[in-house]
Amino acid sequence: MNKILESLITLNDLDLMIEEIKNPNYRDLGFEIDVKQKLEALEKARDEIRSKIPENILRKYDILKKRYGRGVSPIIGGVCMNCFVKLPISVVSQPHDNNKIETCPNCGIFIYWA
Amino acid sequence: MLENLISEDRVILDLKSKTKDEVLKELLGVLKLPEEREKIVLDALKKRESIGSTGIGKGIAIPHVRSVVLDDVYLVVGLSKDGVEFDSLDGKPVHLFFLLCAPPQDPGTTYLLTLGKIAQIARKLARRNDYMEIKTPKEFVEYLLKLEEEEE
Repeated sequence: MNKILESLITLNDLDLMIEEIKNPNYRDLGFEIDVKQKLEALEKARDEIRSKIPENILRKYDILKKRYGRGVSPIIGGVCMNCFVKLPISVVSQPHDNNKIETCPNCGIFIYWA
Repeated sequence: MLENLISEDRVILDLKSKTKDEVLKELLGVLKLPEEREKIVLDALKKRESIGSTGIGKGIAIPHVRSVVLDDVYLVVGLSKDGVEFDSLDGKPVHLFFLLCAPPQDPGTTYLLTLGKIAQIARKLARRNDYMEIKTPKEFVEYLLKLEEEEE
């Protein structure tokens, strides 16, 4: 898999984890976490991942994240799981091995061929 | 709520794993995700465990994660007769696992509600141990659905 795409997926999953432990409803569920300490560790891990991604891609990820709540989406059965639009046959019929950075032609999100 | 998520083919009554990493892999394996996606979800699960164990004590753990490579909410239930060391709150081995995996925005944003429901069921289960005697996945599903209906 493309290293930048892999980093984008890890970054997005880390961002979800950070959001989760900040959520008071989640904390009420009773999982024992030292929020402050763990948040620092997660944010450090996030900074490390961000440093591996080129700035122009990171800028786009941040915009997508703000707009959709995520920056990366899988394509399953030719459908983008972010906008739920079927990608054109001309795109789907190409071989895809996640070795390059691609975006959904409809919503612009970074895509991962599942 | 649980009936839409739980199914017999996602219940393992005889987990073989002995360690935390092994049991996460064994539970996740039930979903038969393609190898690359399974690895990504497994890494996220391990990362989540590293910030604090989801072993809530009394032999029960609720490992959970959200990942961008998932397209649906998945629940896997696993039972280990021997127990697995899981760094639980009370330091005791875990015998019952609820693995919950979800995409970032699941339809109807049910992830936290589902997690809450599972935590509630786990609290009820913590007062019992008869579930260790259940013999088939079908009975286990029925047992959990019945428990969901009971007052806490």
